Amino acid sequence: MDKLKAKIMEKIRKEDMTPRPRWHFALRHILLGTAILSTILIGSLAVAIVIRQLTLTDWELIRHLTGSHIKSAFAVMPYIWILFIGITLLAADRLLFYTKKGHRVKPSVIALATVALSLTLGTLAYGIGADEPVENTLRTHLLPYKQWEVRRQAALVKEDRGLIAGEIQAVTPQKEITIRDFRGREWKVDLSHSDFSPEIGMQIGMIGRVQDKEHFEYENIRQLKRDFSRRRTRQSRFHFNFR
Amino acid sequence: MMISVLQLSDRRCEMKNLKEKTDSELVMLSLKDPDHFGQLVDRYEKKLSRYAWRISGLDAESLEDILQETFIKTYLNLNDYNNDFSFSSWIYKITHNETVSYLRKNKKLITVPLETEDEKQSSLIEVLKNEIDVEAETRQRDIVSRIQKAMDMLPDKYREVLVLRYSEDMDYREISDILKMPMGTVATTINRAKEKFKEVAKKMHLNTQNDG
Repeated sequence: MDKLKAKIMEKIRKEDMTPRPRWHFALRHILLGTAILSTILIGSLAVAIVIRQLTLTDWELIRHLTGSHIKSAFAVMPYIWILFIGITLLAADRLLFYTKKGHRVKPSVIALATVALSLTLGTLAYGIGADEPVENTLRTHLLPYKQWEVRRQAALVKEDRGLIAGEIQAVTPQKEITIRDFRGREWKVDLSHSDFSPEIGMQIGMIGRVQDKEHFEYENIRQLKRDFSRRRTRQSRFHFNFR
Repeated sequence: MMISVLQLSDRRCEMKNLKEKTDSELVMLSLKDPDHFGQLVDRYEKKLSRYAWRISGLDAESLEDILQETFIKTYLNLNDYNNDFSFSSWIYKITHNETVSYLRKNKKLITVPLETEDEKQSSLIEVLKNEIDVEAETRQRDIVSRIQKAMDMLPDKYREVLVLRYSEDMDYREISDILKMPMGTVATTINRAKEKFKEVAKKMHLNTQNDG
């Protein structure tokens, strides 16, 4: 037994070993703490984006497509972001495990606490609009993200089922509008009998029927919610065609 | 002559004092003078060697390598130790990690040794023996042999908690800190390990009777 002790002590002396300095461990703990906090903050931003995407969703139009509330919910869930939240929660949980006392807390308590914290911070982030710049940056710099968003919007274009959605390209003095739907096709719609006030660039959704290759007759029309909806008043109710 | 006797006497007093010091005090002293670290090695060498042997079944040479690495790591990380944990849990955790890492690197098969003259080892056998219905058992060697085989058949996580709880006499908090799992999970794992052990031991007992 003394042989091992002698070997250890000799190695310490011979190689002039000294205990690693305190700051080395302090730095490691700070980095770990920062990583946990960052993960939770990123998760919170994702929560804010999910809240925004669900609030911006036009449930009336979706329900027209799917016919049920549950199907509507499944149709428009921002799965990517929900998956991302899951990943951040898992990462936070794993990182907490590597802290000195993380293992002493029940995993269920850690999971609940991180979810509650992410939801609270996420709601706050949504409240102050912190999610918008994040999404705008992703849209601009990440092509797959933009494509994913276009695909989600395109789900609102089902002309065979009497639903189109898109952006107003032109408005004539007679209140005939040209709208480019989210699949890229252009339609002309007569709004002369509507009290709806169209503007170029406005995103709208319409329920009605296809008249011919170019014309769509609306039964009701609605402005889609957009990012700036928090700051601007919208024409949120349906405008019916009584002609 | 007189001086060297006095020096020897001083040295003995110092050694006696060191032996009375707590682990935390020895850590503080080791940070100032590496020679004091030897006292911690003295204090834990036997225990850790026995623990590593129980969870790995490795030979003396491999165990020495593991222990050397454990103590060197402990020394290098002395500044990371804090009093929120017992030093014992901390150094057992390092030993556990080193043993697992050694086994992974060397891909050695684990066989758990139970036959020993050590008192604590026999206490493990007693505890486990009480957990299963072995009233019919008459020969101690048969029981030991069967328990050894049963332990061999347990998954690592079950074997580890049983060794820590019954051989090393650790409480749930210490096991929780060594294996890095919540106390509730420790309790559940111990219960499952005992159940699994009973199951395996009973099967083996039946087989033995059938064989006999």
